[in-house]
Amino acid sequence: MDFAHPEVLVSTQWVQDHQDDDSVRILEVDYDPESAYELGHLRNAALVDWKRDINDPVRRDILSKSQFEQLMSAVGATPETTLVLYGDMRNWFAAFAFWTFKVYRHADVRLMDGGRRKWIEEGREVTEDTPKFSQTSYTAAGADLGLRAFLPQVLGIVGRDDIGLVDVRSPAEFSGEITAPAEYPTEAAQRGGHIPGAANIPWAMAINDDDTFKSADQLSELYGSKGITPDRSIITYCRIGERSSHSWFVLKYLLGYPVVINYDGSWSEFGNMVGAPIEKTA
Amino acid sequence: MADHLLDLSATEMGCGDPALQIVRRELQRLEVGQVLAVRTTIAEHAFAVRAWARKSGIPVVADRTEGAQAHIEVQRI
Repeated sequence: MDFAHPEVLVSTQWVQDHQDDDSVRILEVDYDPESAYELGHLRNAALVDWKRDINDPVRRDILSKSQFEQLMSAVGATPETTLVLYGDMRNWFAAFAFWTFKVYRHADVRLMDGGRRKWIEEGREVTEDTPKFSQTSYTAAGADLGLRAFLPQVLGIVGRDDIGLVDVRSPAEFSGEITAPAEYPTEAAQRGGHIPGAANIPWAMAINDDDTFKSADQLSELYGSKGITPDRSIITYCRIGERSSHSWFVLKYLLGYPVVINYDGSWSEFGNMVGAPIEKTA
Repeated sequence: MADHLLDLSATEMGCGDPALQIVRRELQRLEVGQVLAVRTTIAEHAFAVRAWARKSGIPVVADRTEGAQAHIEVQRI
């Protein structure tokens, strides 16, 4: 079994071979640029700061269409550019950016398999030089809301057998033992547990020790064994929508499930809702 | 001889802080002059510790590799 869309996943060698290709824009997407991009990055890679560049600076939301257009223009991209994403924290935030860029319908977005960790492990070149690109005037299409689930939609599907929910958080978060990891006190919910009927498949089960993705056969077994099968529409969620973007990518592009939607409101929204149905096993 | 040992090999497995943030936090907890030993089998972490120390003027008092494991000692200033 092969990946359904192998074109969206590129190797470190492929990226190295395309570092001077002007039709390709390499973007490092970091949770913490100070611990990553600023210490060294791929030559010709521009920084995308998750907090600053992919989220609205005031309200809780992903960046707007105009903010996306500004970001793409600033890195010199056009709608025809091949965007190659990689990043820190095992590619979580690169996967979140991938999802966001697909929401704004950028045609050719790819992930570097293994991310920043694999590139450095292989001893490939890094630099502290920041590349300069000529500003473009990028115009995006309207948002593809078919990729994004909102709370009313999620509340409406609880209990439906034809829709599979994948909770990609840790077992302790899923069970309700904790409401958020200790490192993220501002992201805790009022209640612990999970959306009724959800399957717990932690996001990292989809990757190998070197952060590359597992094989299609392994991934199919991983999700299929928990009832997450392609005949169902799938909604992925975590706490704030990043880890679930990684699983969304796996299900939609590597396994080719026809309908996969990311619920970025996730548990930090659902677990704070008055009256929302919750299953708790802790 | 290090005053505190930090093993980074199991960090970033779930949803924790970036490894270098943990190193910076642990070093700040030490007294000036004390040494933090950092161990990791992950090249990305070793790279980050070395680059951060160099850019920040943090003294690296030991840096060796034992098999697949990097052992880097940094001093609180």
